[in-house]
Amino acid sequence: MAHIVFEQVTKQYENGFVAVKDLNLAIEADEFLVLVGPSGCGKTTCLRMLAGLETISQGSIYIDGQRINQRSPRERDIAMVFQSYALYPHMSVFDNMAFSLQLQGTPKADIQQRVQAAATQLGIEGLLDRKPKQLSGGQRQRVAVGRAIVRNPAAFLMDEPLSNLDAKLRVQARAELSKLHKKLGTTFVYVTHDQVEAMTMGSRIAVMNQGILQQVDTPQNLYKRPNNMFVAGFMGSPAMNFFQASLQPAGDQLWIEAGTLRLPVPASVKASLQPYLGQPLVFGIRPENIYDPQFAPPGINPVELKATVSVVEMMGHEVIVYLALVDGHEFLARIDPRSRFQPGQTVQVSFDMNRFHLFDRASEQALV
Amino acid sequence: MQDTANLMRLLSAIAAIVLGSGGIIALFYGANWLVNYLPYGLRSRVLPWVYMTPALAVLAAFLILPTIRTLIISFMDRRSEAFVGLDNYIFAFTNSAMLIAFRNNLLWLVLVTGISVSLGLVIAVLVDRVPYEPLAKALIFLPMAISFVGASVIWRFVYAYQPPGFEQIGLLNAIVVALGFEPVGWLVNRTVNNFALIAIMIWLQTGFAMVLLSSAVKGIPQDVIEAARIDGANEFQIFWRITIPMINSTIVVVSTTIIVLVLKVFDIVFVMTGGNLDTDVIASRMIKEMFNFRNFGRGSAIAVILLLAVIPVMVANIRRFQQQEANR
Repeated sequence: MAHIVFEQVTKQYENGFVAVKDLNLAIEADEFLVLVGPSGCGKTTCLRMLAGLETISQGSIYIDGQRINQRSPRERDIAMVFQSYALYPHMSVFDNMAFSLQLQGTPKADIQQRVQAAATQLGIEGLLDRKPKQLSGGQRQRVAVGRAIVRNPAAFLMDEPLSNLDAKLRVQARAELSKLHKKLGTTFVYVTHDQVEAMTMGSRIAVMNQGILQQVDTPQNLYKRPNNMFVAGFMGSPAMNFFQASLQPAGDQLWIEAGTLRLPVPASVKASLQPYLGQPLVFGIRPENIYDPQFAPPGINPVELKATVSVVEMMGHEVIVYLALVDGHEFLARIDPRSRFQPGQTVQVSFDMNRFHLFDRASEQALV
Repeated sequence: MQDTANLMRLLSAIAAIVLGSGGIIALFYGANWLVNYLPYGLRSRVLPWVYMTPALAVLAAFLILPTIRTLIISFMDRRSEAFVGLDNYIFAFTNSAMLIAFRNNLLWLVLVTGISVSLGLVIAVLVDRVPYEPLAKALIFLPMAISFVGASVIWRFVYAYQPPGFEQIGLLNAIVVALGFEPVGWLVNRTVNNFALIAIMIWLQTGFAMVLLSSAVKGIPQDVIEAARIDGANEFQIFWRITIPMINSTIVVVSTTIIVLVLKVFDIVFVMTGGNLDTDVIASRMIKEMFNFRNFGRGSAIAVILLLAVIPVMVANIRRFQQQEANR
């Protein structure tokens, strides 16, 4: 178990490119922290700096209070699972898993027992004599994880370990990694570009974009209260719908006006929005908070409006509908599969006005 | 007059190229055309042979037949007139000059192969980490482009000897004298002359080994090296336990290629010492018996011995290659 702290960490490459900028992040011991963001956002660089594979340009990284900037990877007591698995092709599965222990000079009997235990835990005890190229993708992934756990390290670093698996295996491996984390109770730092992996596995998620940490929070909070438009748009699939909007008062009611849309602000948040009257804002609503009025659940705060259906994607358990307003603005809705929306129809949809987001248009930050 | 002669020469060179390559194209095209008149079922069985026959014919005429002839001559006397049984082979394995040649060849084999492969490997791993890698590699690879004879001429100057008191024009002796020692007759002194010759071959072959091994080293995924680093391996352990096993097949290929090359070595010895002063190798001995002493029987016997020595290496190489193909 390790407590990891990034303190004002910056990574600038020799060509001047800043991959990570002024990162401050504390990772609790026993936490499953997921670093997520689009490719090139600096998440892998963070992991590689933590592993010691990349130098740190500025700032410090601490493991259990000790500054580790100058330590080589072997002195950091961390294990890493690579996207390509990086198994040693000339070694058997057993030797792959035993390699780190052999280097430490662990007694043979001890190695045998620890590798066996890890293999049993991962269900690969029958493969120990095989070479990596005789294994399937899923088996290789297990060996890579096994190689990490035999060492019993202070922290596990994982760099997109599931991205080379097919969809079905990935779902299974996700659950297994979560179980493994609970069982080992060690710090996991997990890098992915897949927000589904982040949401399902992370005890906390750190969202990064262009080298800058956007928000760190639990999956629920990140989804419910994104700090800014990037986080709002990145977490959730399909992504949140955005409309250019402004707040206008009329009578004792506050209205969100977005093109041809005119949406009443619920009384409960009216007071807190008063300071933003007339300012350029962005109105955001997630596709699942838009309903076919026929199948809208009770207890929401529906506001109906007219839109034209352009595409209907039947997913089985839900329907994704591409809609366009009269002014041409497009948005997506995730609605009940019993809905009869057809392409070309002009339909009524209802927005749940209890669940919307407002952002400042210039800074893209969420309003309170 | 001279101009016309040159022009004629140029024209006949062009004609040779055009007729040579054109003739081959015509041959294949014509054969293909003829095959198309065969019944369909027969066609696919005949076609491969049609394409292979010219190559097989050339191979037979210039490689297989001479080999068989050499084998026959090796059992005959010096003028290939009478059958002498194994006499020539008994000579080859008992004559003192031949035994020295065998000893020298063994020395060449071990030292050239061992040193140029290991040096090439070390350089390949080291240049992988320097920023001016292409330049460093080019410099080390450069000797490869020089012929053995050319290299020998260069090294004659390096090894040049002047009696003490005279100005040393040889690089090596100039250094030795500058350090306060007596100049050494590198090519004359029987304790060093073989090593002096072997050094030339190492200089020539290290670049070859380095280039092939370097590309193999580059073929190792960076991830695997990093995984080893995180697993706690230091650079030395990575070299021994990751790099070398992963490029093992290339090391074998480079080694066997150099072994075959060394078994055939002749030019360096011929130019530098003429095989005198105990520097003969099997191939130079063969040339001497064949063309200086005009003993075709003995010369052929030595050639056959050389051929037999190369075969196991070739077999090992082919086996290795087949294994690799099977493992793909």
